[in-house]
Amino acid sequence: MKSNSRTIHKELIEACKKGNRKMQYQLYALYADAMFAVCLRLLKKKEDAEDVLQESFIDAFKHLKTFKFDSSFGYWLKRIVIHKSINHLNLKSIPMVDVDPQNTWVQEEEDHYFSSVTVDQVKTGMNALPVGYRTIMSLYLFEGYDHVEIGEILNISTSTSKSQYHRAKKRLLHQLSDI
Amino acid sequence: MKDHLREFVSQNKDAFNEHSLDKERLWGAIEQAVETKKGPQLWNWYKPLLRMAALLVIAIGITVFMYQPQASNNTLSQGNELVNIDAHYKAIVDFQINMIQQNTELSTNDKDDFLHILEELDDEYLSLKEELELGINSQKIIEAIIRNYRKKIQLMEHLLVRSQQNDFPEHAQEYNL
Repeated sequence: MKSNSRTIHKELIEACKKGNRKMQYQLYALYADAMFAVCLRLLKKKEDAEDVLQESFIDAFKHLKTFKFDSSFGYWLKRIVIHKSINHLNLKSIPMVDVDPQNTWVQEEEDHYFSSVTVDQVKTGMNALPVGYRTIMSLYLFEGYDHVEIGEILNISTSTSKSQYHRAKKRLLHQLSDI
Repeated sequence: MKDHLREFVSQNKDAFNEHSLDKERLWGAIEQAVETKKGPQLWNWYKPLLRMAALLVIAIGITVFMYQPQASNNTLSQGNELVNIDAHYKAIVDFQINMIQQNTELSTNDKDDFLHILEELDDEYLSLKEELELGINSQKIIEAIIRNYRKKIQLMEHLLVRSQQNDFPEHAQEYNL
């Protein structure tokens, strides 16, 4: 079943490579919502997210011939979307501050906060985070990248990605406590 | 160490993904941009063909340009040559026809039949003259016109000589051209 789905998907992408407009729309419709969610989490503003999503699909269709099925199409497309989003943010550097390994406050407080908060509160709290924190948190929590991959995407070390994630989470918990 | 935030996000992923996207509107912009970007690619694809077509048109233009004055010159030259040929041979032919018509040794019917044979050569002459105006193989047509005149003259000479010898055959049309 999975293999059949992959075959259909491959046929769809091959048709898109040949410039079949109907198939291109189908592919766009399949991924637009998921990719829009990625853009929105990283960019916050709906207008910015739409602009980046549009640019990403244009680039994807333009360079579709370079996609050789080495990874899933969704993974390939998401990398384009994330790179476009990060460029849009003009995120040139992430603050390089190490977290204190002895600081256990976050772990102790987490259980209390996440058992009582709502999705909207977390969304609001995340949107209030500095852009660097929010970017790492989005990539780690929502896009499924590990800290090695985040390091590659943002051109930072794995340890910096880890430390910034912990700092971001700590800031988020503080914000949630204020809500 | 358990990441409670990650667990919370994972459990509520659908709720985090709630948003409204006007897919159709956005697709319109994407489609337009993809078409615009494809334009030059198509142009590049057709470019060699268009270039070849343009070269072909130029080559035809040059050929026609080069050919036309030559054709005019040739036509003019061949036309002058035909005038000279006509002037030379027509005088002989007219003279001989006049002699046949005045020949008392030949009956009127014989004369008419013979002249009718000559008319076939006249038709051939007119056809050759039309071909000469087209300017194709002009030299060969000129040679054919000369052969046509010579044939007429030869036939008439034979007729006149035989009429003088009084051994004119009963059927002049038996002369084969």
